[in-house]
Amino acid sequence: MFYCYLFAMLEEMSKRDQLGNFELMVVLVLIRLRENAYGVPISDELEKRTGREVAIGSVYAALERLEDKGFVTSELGEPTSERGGRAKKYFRVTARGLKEVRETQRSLVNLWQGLPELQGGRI
Amino acid sequence: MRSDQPPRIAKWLLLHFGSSPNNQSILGDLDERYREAPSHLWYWRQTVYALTAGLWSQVRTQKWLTLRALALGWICSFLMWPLIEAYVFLFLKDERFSGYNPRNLWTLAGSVIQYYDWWFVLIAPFAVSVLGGWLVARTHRRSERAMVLAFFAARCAVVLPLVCFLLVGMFVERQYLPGFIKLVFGNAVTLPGILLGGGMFSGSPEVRSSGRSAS
Repeated sequence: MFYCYLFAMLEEMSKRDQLGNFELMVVLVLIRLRENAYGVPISDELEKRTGREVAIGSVYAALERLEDKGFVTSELGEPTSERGGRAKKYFRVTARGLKEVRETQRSLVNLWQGLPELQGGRI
Repeated sequence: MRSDQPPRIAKWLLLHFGSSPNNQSILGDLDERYREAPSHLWYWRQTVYALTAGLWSQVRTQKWLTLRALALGWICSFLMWPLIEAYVFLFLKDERFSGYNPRNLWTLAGSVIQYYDWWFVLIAPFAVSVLGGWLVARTHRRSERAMVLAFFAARCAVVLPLVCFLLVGMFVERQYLPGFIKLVFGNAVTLPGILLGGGMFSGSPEVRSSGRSAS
């Protein structure tokens, strides 16, 4: 019974086809990195821009969700020795993903406007 | 702490228990980053995040499949009870239980289990859990690691409170101490049993996962 409730709740949550906060950050980094977007540069860029440590596992979990939603595509590169013979997986934002980012940007800008508490960089 | 090689145990854990479809890429990325700035603590932290985020992501995206895997695993676990009943009926013939007076749950558990032989207490639950893990893995090949780990986590959620309950029982009903110890071990062996049956320790995960992605 508990499991059924938990899974019904999760089902409802995953139905949302919008971008989450972390997913939006990942997509923006993918757009910024263009051709060189694989795990290491993505997490480096996120760390540089947010000032916080980023877990590579979390980045991949977000990328998997984005791929499921059709916002991102991926392809495998060549295996390299410095990666223990493992291939890099490159990610790219799709046209649908770009459209979703623009819509999210518009919504956020609309929400941001007219809030005196958030103006001037002070809360 | 600095070294040329990433921590072996962390790498082994991620190699065998990482359930993300991108596990090989994660391992490669961690190796690459580790070469640039080697830190065992960083590698361990990344490993824990990768294990939990990978499993959670799989469970979240395949909820009904996970529910089916849990149901299958638990049904298989409950097969243990008819086995125990058959054992009690055939070998103990219920005679040794006559006259016991269960005052509470500890008395009930301890007084029954203390008569079981050690080999039975360990082997029966272990065999059933190996079978459960194997069944879950075989019937959920698309994401067998995640499903086996989900069943393992669900089993842990039951076993750990039970062990705490039995540890308290050791002080409350000291005369049934052997029964409690047998129950603790009998439950504890189910955990590695699930992982073993699910194939988490066997073969080369790299070969298995690459073969799966190719198909």
